[in-house]
Amino acid sequence: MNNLEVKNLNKTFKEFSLKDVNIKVPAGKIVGLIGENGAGKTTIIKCVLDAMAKDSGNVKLFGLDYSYKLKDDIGIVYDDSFINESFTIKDLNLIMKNTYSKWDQKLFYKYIKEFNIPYKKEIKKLSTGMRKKVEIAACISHHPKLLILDEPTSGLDPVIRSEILDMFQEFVENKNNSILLSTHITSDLEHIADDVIFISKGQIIFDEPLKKIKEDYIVIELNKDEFKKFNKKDITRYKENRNDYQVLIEKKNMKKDYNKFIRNITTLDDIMLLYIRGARCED
Amino acid sequence: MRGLIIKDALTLKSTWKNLIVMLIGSLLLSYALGNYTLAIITVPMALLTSGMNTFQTDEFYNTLSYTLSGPYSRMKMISARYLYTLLMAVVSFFVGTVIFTLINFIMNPIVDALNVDMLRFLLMLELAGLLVDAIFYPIIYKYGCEKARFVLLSIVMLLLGIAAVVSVSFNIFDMAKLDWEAIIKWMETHGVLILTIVSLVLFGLSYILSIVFFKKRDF
Repeated sequence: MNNLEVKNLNKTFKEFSLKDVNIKVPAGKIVGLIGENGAGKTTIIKCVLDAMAKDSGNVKLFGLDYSYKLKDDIGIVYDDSFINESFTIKDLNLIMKNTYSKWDQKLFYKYIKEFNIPYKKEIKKLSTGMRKKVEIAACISHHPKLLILDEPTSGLDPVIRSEILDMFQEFVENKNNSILLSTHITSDLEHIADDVIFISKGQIIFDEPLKKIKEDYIVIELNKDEFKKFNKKDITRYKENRNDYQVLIEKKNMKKDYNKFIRNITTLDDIMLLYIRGARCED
Repeated sequence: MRGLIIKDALTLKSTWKNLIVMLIGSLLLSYALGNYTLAIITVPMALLTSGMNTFQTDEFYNTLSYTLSGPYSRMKMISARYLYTLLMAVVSFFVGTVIFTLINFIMNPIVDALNVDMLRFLLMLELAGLLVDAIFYPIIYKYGCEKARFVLLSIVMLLLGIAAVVSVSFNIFDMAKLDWEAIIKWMETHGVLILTIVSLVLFGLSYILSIVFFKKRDF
């Protein structure tokens, strides 16, 4: 079953639009949503959650047509919005207890204790990392089935990021649970995502299992002479640097003698960068 | 909806120190002026306008997109804010009455707590507060806090300007000919009733308008 299914989502602004976006987040999976700043990741999330009114399209949650009541089973973390920072952890608990029907106070305080977060301090007096941990504890303590996370690890140091990513992996150990994780830190996804949706300029470029993406795309590096001689038909995208060319090749176009041009392991970042900033050969 | 009302109440709670300082300041001022009206209305006024303050706090912390993403419909969010405002009007009236009674008791130990004139004054204060909220809320829901003040000010100025020009041009409203004494007497007799009806009707209309305006707003 899909915990989230978005069909033909459209939303138009003056200078940007989402065009026929289709997304599926199956139960038991972590789906990464990647793309450059302004690609439309947050707009998709906000349209799904009704923080933005969509122009057209259909949103299904847990196999049912969208209803605000279904959001009782969703946990949310936004990059830039939360609650009044003059509240304390106790205040936050009181609000959440009266918001989510399955709010688990014990679980919330267990996370707070594990994270060493002081109960009585106002949220604004906590460090950025601690604050983010509070948000994550709050989003997970009502036993949601779906987490929708918009840049949950941005601005955090690698240690805290790793702790948080571990929590997400634990969360999907329950096969009914799933996560839609929007991030520009693609290295986070390389460790935990099952599927990756790549969006650019409001359009889905690909939506594939991470494993398949890593198998299907290879980035090679060529010097200028090598690039001149290279069969351009095999190139999906390329980017000219000062001393060399970075070239994205689909596995089906990979020839044996291209192996010598592989200098590094291909990362999602490389693929994303070449798709966004790279040129096509016919360009 | 309870969660949202609690959130607004906690926002108010976080300013309790300011309310105490306000009360002390207004008491000192009243003592110096020899008139305790200011001390009686200051804290109730602050409580009454706390609904408006929560809009600002929500906007500052970008809370609306977070709460909208929770298990609330847009209509429920508006209902919670209007309900909170009504609750605060009741609380404000109660607090005003308590302050008045205490001051009255301290200044004049013969207990004359239920001063009807003062209660009526407080009630009119609450109703006037609701009226202001009723006008402001839909505009805030439409434009957000920052822009709402300018929008409202521009509308009021425009309407006043048009009314003044029409009045002068057609000599509709001759202030000199008005029987102010009669008007004041009439207001004293019927003021509370009129204000109650106008405030409640406008409050209801404001609620409907807010729902319409908030429906398509993006966060």
